[in-house]
Amino acid sequence: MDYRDRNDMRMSEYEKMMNDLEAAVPEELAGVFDRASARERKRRSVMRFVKPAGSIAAVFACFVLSVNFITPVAQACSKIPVLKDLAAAVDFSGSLSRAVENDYVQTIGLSQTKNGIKADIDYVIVDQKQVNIFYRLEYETGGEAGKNIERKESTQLAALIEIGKDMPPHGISWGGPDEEEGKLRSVTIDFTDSDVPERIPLVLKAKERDTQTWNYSKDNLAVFTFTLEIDPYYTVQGKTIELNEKLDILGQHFTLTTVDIYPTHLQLNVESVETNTMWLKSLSFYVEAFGAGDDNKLESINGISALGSKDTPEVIAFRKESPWFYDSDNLKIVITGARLAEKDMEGIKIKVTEPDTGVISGRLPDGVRLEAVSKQKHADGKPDVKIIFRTVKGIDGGRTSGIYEVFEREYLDGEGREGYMDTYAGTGDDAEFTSTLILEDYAYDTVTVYPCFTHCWKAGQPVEITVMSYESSK
Amino acid sequence: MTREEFAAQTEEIRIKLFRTAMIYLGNEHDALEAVDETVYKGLCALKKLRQPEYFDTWMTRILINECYKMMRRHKREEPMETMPEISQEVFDRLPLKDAIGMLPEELKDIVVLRFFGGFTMAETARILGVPQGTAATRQRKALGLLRLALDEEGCEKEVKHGLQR
Repeated sequence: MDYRDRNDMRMSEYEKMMNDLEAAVPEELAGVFDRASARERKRRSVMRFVKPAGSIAAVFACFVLSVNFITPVAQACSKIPVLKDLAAAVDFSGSLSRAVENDYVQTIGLSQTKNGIKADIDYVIVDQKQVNIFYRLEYETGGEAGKNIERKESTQLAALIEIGKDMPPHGISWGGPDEEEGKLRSVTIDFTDSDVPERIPLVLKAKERDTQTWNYSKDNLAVFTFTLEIDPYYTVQGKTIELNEKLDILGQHFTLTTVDIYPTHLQLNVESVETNTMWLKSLSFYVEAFGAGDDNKLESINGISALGSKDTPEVIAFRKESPWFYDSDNLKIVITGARLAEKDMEGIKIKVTEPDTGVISGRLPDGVRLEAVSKQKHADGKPDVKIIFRTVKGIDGGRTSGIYEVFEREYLDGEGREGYMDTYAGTGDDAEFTSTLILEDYAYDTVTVYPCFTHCWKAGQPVEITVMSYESSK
Repeated sequence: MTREEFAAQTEEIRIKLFRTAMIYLGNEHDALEAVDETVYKGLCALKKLRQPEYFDTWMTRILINECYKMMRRHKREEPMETMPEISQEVFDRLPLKDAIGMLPEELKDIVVLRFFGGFTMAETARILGVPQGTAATRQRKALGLLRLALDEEGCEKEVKHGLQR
């Protein structure tokens, strides 16, 4: 068949499809507005009936709609905290707060009691990539088992949470409300390589945690196993917008390929070219959602904030708060800086024993200086080494209040063997923050450490990228 | 926009919404369900529509989301094997309806909106949240795969013929 015949055939097919569509209109289509109107009126009448005080009346009404509106509703309501508790529990996250304000919550309502400990899984806030679980943990009141539990003043009830071993790769993080007995707590699970499954086996291990050291008890007070059934309505929520915007930083070439927008977070995806001599390690940016009022600047989120490549040290995706629930026609990505790492960077060798402690070889990252090295012996004679660095705040175009990891935790000792050290960052002062490396039982004179980045870039003029307008259609 | 205005405008576009859903979903029952859900959600979210002149594109965006949601739900219920990349020869052998179904999502959206939904390039770009240039590039690619020689004028002529009553 030649080209012309093929095109003629396709045009005939197209005309037939159009004619078939003209004929295929069902009678029921005529009543589409009436049906929608009846559903919408019913929804509003339920809201009036159960409306409690406070601005989250709509949220509470949708909660009631999620169970049958008969007598068990009252019983269900008495067991699950009212949703104002959830609104308070998500106060740490702009994305989750807006999700709750927009009724984007699935009620779970699972409860178990073991060994005098009561665990409740109350709500989840879910989308295609992230699950936020809101749960409670408390000592059972009134039960026999509860009377026999010895409670220590210096400890609090805490939970370690895992999900089933067969689950896809994921990250679990905390960072929500302060953990108090009987109050809502939260944990975030990010599925990076796959979508959120519709069934998640959850293991919650109740332990004691020392309020001074934050160490968990070795033994479990109780172990609870729940199965979360996630409503598929939530697990399909997400959209991708193409950007394909070039970004050059310090002679390195990157492309901002797409923006993924989910109810819980926004993810900016980045690709680099093979000929680059540096890896992208961090991108300083924020997102403005126009039409969203004064509070339209989207910043960092709870949970995973960046994703690294599986094959290289490069960071390939960055996350911010979500604009999903804003009444916004436009988004603007504003890039203010970045941190990069030379692909062939060498370690930094530091002399840790007096005299003349300091950097022997290697290049410290931009904005970083060695402040002090100390070696102290314990009573048992074993020495600990402490190395303190100071980093200029905002040199990477990020917020001047921001602090970040400057060194990797892996190191090479004086004999070239690999080790793993503790590090922590301090707020320092207005101009600089501190990074402290701790080498326990360290008898060598030198150590080789590896920086997380080598170069910082701060944009002279922020790079602004407009994301094509889209209308709120959820 | 008032409730009455919403009702009136829905009346004007309901058939266009249904036909768009038919192309995505392939059967009358699912298409009707998608339109029902779209009108319900549009009515619930009416206060969020601050530019009534974009009512059509706004409702179509809701419809496309609903169609994809339903398609993903069906995919979970009846797991499908992953299809290998489709060659031009395979596209040529498929009936047009099936060939459209085999297009990648971003190309399918363009074809459905431009050549069955009757939207202009600007409206299509707005619905999909992409620059017009991107929409035009995708249209060329889609029409090439489908072997459809629909230029701008031809498209509008065909669509007007097909959709006017």
